[in-house]
Amino acid sequence: MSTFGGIRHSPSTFTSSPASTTLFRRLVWEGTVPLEIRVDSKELPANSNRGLECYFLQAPRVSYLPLLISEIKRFLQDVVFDDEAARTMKEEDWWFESEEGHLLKWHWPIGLIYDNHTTLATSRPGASASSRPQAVPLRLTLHLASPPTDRLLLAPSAEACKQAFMGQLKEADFLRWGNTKRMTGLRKAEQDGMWEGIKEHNFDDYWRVASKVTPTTLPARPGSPPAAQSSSMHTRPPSADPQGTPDKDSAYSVRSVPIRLYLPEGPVLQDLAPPVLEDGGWSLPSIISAQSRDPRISLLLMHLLTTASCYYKGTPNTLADLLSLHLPLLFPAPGPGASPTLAYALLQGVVTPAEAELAWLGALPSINQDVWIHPTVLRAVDMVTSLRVTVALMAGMQ
Amino acid sequence: MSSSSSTLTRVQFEQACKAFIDKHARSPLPSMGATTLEGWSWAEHPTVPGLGYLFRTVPLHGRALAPDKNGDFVQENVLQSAEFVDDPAIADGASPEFLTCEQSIAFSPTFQVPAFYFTIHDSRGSPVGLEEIMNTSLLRHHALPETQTTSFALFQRDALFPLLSQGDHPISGLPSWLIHPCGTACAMSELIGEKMAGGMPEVCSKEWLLVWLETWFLMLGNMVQL
Repeated sequence: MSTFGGIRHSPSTFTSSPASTTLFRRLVWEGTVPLEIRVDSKELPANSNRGLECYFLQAPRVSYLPLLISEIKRFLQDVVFDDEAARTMKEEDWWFESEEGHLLKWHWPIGLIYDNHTTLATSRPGASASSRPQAVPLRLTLHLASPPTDRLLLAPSAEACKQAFMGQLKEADFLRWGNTKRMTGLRKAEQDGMWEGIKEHNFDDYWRVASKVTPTTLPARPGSPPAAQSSSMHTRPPSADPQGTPDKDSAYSVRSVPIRLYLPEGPVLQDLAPPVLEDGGWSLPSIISAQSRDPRISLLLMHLLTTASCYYKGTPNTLADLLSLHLPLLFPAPGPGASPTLAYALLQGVVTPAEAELAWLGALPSINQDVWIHPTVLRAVDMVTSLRVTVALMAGMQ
Repeated sequence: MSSSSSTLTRVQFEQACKAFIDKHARSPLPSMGATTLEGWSWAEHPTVPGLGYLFRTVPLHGRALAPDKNGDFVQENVLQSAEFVDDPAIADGASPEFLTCEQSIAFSPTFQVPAFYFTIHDSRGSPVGLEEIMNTSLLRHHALPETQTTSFALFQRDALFPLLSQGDHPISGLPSWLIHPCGTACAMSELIGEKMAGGMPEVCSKEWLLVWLETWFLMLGNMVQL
């Protein structure tokens, strides 16, 4: 953290201009994972084309298993089953299992299922602790009958999936603002349109509506900062409007960032996660700090900022803050003499910097932002168990 | 510390639950006529601290559904008026099915209130569907305003969230039915407000938390036969 005339700002590797936010949203939206789906050989109907019952696809991370059913069904009808079997198959009895026998949940996004499996796979004894997850196909077994209804939600239908999805959107809305007005302010056609965007995997259709309920990554303007202490030529005292109105849609204005921590063997941890920590300091949002490294630009920016009054009180809550709060043994709070962190975070399969601001992450597209924690150095520490943690952000989509 | 009397923090929820158990004697096997406050125990996640919930297991009467002449299962009138008897299995002389209901009271981090989760299994250990749940004595149908059902949820007209739906138990991760807690804070605000007007222990004290949770049970009891 560097100081700037008595004002702290937190450097961030991310810019938060709307264009870059849209870019990141699109990148996350277009993330896919490879799936290899094989029908349980014991359940293949008679006269099936054995040897062909394996289906490969690159599935969007933001989609759901029930939405893949029709595509898989078409394949089985065309290639594997005979007419009789094709006619009598009942997809309402279908269910999926991972290679290791883990039951796959219908209401988890495919990206979450994939990352969960990757984390569990690399936590098995003998797996290399330092290896990054490779993009290997997730091998699923498709069962055609006898779903284990005691461990699976009863209705593996797209309709049930949609309801769960819409419920998560509303919960995220509630977490952010303490009410669900943004969601209820949408017309029914718009709400349905979001789900259609997921079903058809259409970014524009989805975000046309989602942008109305998802916070912006622009900074809030909660008020004026104190007068600058330094007379350095690189600083100018901000002539802030003391009654500055907060940007009510800013990710930095929310009550809580919707975020969950998924432990690989459970449970799911969730608690209130304010976007800004009230610790008495004043901060520049990351948009400013990221661009102000160039001294030629910083002066110009400071000039612009004096009227924009983009400061906000407190320091941004980061992923590191959240993880050390909820998982202090894996993520000890930084400081002199602190123990090393025992895991790292992966978001959508990408290493997430610990200083990533929750507010910014929470405004990304994400039906679920799945941040996976992998153990780092284990040799020096005799860990009885190596925990891997998934941090899922249900930011606006789920 | 909770910023309002209508919600709790997770820590307050745990304090309230433990005070609740201390006050009300544990009964290992609640009888069919168990009242709201009996038979609850405290359970915690085996490895992660700070994740606890109340739980108990109670027997229920269901009604074994029989197919009509078309082979369809008949759903008897379950959404009736206040005259509807709470124990439908006995009311019309149908042979009762003995069911087991596992109930949990867990903290909802989204709504910052307790939430009621349950599963119902038949004598073979299979989970029962929504239609059969409606046939048990668990839900007080006269307290359920016009509802629509699908196989996976019970909706109130124009409500934001379904009244009853499926979700993962927040601690065990197993699929459960839940009474959606979205309306709890609003209802509690009113009830606690009334109580505080009549005199309550010091806000956020252990005694206050106990009264809060007991009030919540009463509120839940309007909808669910506890």
